[in-house]
Amino acid sequence: MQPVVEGNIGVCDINWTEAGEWLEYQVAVATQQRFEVVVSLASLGQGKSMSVYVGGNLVGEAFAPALGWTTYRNLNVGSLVLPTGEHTVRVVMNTGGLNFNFIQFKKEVLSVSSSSAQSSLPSADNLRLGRNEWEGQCANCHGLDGQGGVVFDRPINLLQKTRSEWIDYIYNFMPLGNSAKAACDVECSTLVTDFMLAGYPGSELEDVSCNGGIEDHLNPPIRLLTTKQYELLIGDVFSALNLNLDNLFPQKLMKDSLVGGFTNNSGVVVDNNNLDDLLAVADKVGDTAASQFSRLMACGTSDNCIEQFVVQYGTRLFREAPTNTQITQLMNLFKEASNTAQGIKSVVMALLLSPQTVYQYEGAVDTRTLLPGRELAERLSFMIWNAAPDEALLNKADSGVLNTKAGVIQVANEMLQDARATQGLRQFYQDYLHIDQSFNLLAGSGGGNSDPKGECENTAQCKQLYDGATDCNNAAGGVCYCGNDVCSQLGSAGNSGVEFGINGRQAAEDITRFTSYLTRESEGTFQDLLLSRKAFVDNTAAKIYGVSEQQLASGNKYLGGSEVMLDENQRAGLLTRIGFVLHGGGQAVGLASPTDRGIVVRKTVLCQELPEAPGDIAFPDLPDPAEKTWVEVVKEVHLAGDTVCSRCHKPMDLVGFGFEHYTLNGQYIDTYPNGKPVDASGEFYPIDGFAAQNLDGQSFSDGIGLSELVAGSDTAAECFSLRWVNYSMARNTNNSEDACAVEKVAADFKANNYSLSELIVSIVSNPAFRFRNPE
Amino acid sequence: MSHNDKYTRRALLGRVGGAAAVTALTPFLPYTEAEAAVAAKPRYCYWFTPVNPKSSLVDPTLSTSTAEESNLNFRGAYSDLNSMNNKMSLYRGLTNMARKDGDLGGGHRDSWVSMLVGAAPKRGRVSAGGTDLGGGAGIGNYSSIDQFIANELPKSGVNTPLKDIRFGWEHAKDGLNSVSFYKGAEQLRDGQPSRLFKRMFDVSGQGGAGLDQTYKKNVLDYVYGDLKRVQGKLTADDRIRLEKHLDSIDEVQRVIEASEGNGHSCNIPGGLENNVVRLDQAVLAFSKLTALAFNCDLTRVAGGQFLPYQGGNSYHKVEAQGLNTLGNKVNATWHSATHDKGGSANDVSAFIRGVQKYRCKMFLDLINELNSFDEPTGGTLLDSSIVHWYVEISKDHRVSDLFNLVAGGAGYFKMGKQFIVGGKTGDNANATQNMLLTSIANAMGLPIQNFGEAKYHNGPIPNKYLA
Repeated sequence: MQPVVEGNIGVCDINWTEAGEWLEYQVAVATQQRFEVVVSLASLGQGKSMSVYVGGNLVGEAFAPALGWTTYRNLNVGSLVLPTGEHTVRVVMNTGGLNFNFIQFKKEVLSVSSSSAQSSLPSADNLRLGRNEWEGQCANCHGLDGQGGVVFDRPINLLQKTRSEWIDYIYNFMPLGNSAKAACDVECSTLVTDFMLAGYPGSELEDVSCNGGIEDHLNPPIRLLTTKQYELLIGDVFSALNLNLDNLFPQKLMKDSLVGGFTNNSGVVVDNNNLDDLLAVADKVGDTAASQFSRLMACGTSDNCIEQFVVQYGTRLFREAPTNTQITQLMNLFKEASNTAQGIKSVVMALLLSPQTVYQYEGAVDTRTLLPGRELAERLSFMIWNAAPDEALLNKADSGVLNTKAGVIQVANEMLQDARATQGLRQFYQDYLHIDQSFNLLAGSGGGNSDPKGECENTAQCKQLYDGATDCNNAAGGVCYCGNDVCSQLGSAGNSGVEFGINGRQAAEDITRFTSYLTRESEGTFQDLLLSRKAFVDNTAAKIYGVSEQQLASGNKYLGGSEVMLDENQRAGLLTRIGFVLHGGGQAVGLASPTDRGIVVRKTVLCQELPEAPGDIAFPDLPDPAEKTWVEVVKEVHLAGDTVCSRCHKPMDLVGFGFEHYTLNGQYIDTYPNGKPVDASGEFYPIDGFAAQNLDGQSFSDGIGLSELVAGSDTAAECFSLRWVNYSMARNTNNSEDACAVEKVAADFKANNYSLSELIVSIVSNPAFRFRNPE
Repeated sequence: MSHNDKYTRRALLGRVGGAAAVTALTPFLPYTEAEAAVAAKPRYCYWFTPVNPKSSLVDPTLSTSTAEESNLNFRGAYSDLNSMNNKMSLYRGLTNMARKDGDLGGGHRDSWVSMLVGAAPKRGRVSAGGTDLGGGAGIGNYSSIDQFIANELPKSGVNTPLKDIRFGWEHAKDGLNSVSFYKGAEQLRDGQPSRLFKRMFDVSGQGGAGLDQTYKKNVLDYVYGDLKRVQGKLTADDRIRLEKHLDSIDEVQRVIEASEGNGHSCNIPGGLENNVVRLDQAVLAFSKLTALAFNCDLTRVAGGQFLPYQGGNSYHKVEAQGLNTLGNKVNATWHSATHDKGGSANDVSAFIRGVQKYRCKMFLDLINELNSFDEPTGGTLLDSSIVHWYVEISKDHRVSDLFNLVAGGAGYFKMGKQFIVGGKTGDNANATQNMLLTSIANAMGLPIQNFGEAKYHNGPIPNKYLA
């Protein structure tokens, strides 16, 4: 017996338990009724369990959470009907190594809520009422912020009870000595409980409804983890197996869906198409786990060890502990198999295919509700890290840190400092700039293409020739390697007309290094994003940007690139980098379409809409681009006179001209291949119905001038923040229901001097991110 | 060639063009004796290829006849189709009125979403569990004709292991992944023959330690139970969405049962190459699998969607992967080429003709495959099927006088003809695409009067155009 740690219930708890030890209690039941049996357990390790018997009959088994010796969880063992009279209750330690605080036979609950973390906050008004009750009856003993007061000098452990249990407890026992249950009735207890579980909001209570209304934002639907997220989860949880993640989805055929412009599988569920993908992955991991199980668990393959495996790995994959029912059913899968290997494989497959593993979802709510800690942790993690939350983050969620706005801000800032934040930034900017991973522009002016051959065709490196390999010399006669093996040799150079090849992955990495530095390392702003000359280049990017080998060698290293400053007369920020200017491919050799580039600026950077070409237009023959520059062609065909063509094309083409100095691979040129000088001047021709502040009617001489105009545009900044909201909320938020949140984030962005990191923090602390509305 | 007993690996490989494409198809058995006694079973397969050229460079491909009914005769790049023109009919004159009301920005997007659905994609019309096609636009609770048939047939007592199969080439991005919708939700497709093969015969779980099918079913039972538990916690919309997941598990379970010998009558072929990179080989393999699925009664509904349209797998890139029918002088996606971009007029014109000719070959591969199987009720598998090749945009990017080529006809559609439904080729609100969709459902034994959104209803194709 040990004294309880401060904050936990009761006086003593039982420690140093050994397998087989038991305790017995005699209980008297006044009236026959159904009871719910709950035990409070803690442990340091996985797989520690106890069973409860009444009258010699097993009620159920509970596994202690592996959260530490004094972090107790109330666990439901089962329910039973007890007749009137006396009964013997026996608690048996199935394993050693768990601490036991109490056993409870619950007759009824006062509330429908069953989740301690699910703080139901019907309105800010109720929070204020709860605060009034707290200040009047509780604060003297517990402090205004619940961190300790005159009598109770330590923080209250909010996780000690479920919401309904807190209501019950306060109603029955609080304020101390409230035996008549008169000082704080059920309504008062409910208000106080919700106030506590909301994290004791300060004197200026947060207005959790954006505009005072209740349903001020939509909810994201269920999301199937993206291929990347699923890969990262499996790779992390089964790291001991050293799985080759490149081969997990052998052909990357599980296509992710973009909603709101970002890869999020929003509203996507497993169907008869992608179920095959998941089955194939589960099959493969299951095989490996079965054959190398000793790498996963050191305890062998006994039933007990497999059960530990289920709890330990299930908890990580599910992002919460498996229920007793799940454990029982998963163990049945193991036991019913004809041999151990098949049993392990069955269990692993079931874990990997479980909806808790493959989906991100939030439960339905009846009223506006703060997301339970773990759900909020998942939202934060999949947004900032593009990966599932780790144990440390989930522990923070369990501790209640995420129950307050301040806590979320603190955790978000910590997460941004974590290296995994680069994964989230990569996903955002890759989608934001529509960087196609399969884009692969080979260098050269002749004919022929790379063609992976032989055994190399099936290797990860060579497969990436389709996605964009990095280790290929794409010049004539160039050799592409897969490790030390020759993958392919080019009979002649590619026909792109560019000096250096580039692919989508390289372009994305160039952007990732730049944006990660700005966001995570240097308190960068939106203006820095558009105007900074700083870059972190690898060998390929260095060639394209004209960076000398000396600069490359001497620059500080960051994420595989060398820190350099680009030529200020050639480059500004994002819009002049490889990842942006590769848009518009498929036109004249080495050059890009100003129309396509202009469209990206209008739609992506400024959130403007453009009309699609009307039907029944007689399309004119195009002049030969070898004779004229594309600007000349476009001016002649698209822009001449006041025609249906020119009215549509002026807003896009005149903007697209600004990028004429950049070839399709991102190199800077002053003259076209036909010897004519580059003219990159253009203007922001207004679009009816879509005003662009500080831009409409403005002209520029090149991409740098264009970037400077965009950097000073409120429209561009608001569009950028909208993109981030879409990415973060995993849906399209450009609608009236979400308008309040979108506007608030945009206003915060401006107020924070357009700080890139503060934008992220602003979004995750917005009620639209943290609360869920009724359907 | 009829090859009910001649479908050997050698024959397959020979006709595919090399061992690289199909590595281990082995002989299989056709339908059983008992099934031979039953009536013909109609099957439906849509076959979508996007974008007809709007270019002035394009040679005429269709008959010059303006008669409401004439004998079918193709010209120019489509001439190869004449080899089977007694088993197909072209239903011209139909207009996709739903496209005109769409909110996806006009042009292709509205049309390819609505062609099989007969309803307009509108903002604020995303159904519960439906797909947001961009900007909050959806098609409500409507289904495409293939999904309608696939989900109605079981109510008529037609229970096949697979409701349908869908396959194709390249997924588009950002909300326009498929032409197939069930209650507003996109239905994606298998992008590789090997994937479709696995789905048809459930050959996953055969590698490594393997997994006995009983245990696999147990695993899926567990997942099904878990799904039901999770489903109970979710919103009504998410609960509806998860129904699709539950259905997919049901389907795999049915295929497992069928593969254990309780269902279909085919032996399972050995396997297919994992990653076919050549479009021609993929199309041929898909065609063979479709014929196999129909012949073995694994399903009555199929759909092929071939998107070499833009991006990395457009035709100009396909050429680089070994397809030699196209020139290499055009550096433009298919879509750009249809707008005359990518090279000189002669080169673009040659490129377009090459693609058109190749598309005909793709279609002929499929219908020849179906035609090579005899039906127990007489005729061939093709005769019992409706193979529906359509394009979402007609010449000059119009949505009137759409290209709807119906092969086989299932004894319902009159063959060997070119019809101009309603007698005119301009916009024709009295002859909508919905008419053809209604008639396809009727041909499949589903006696509906109209299909799609009510404002585009005008009944089925009139009898004078039918058999």
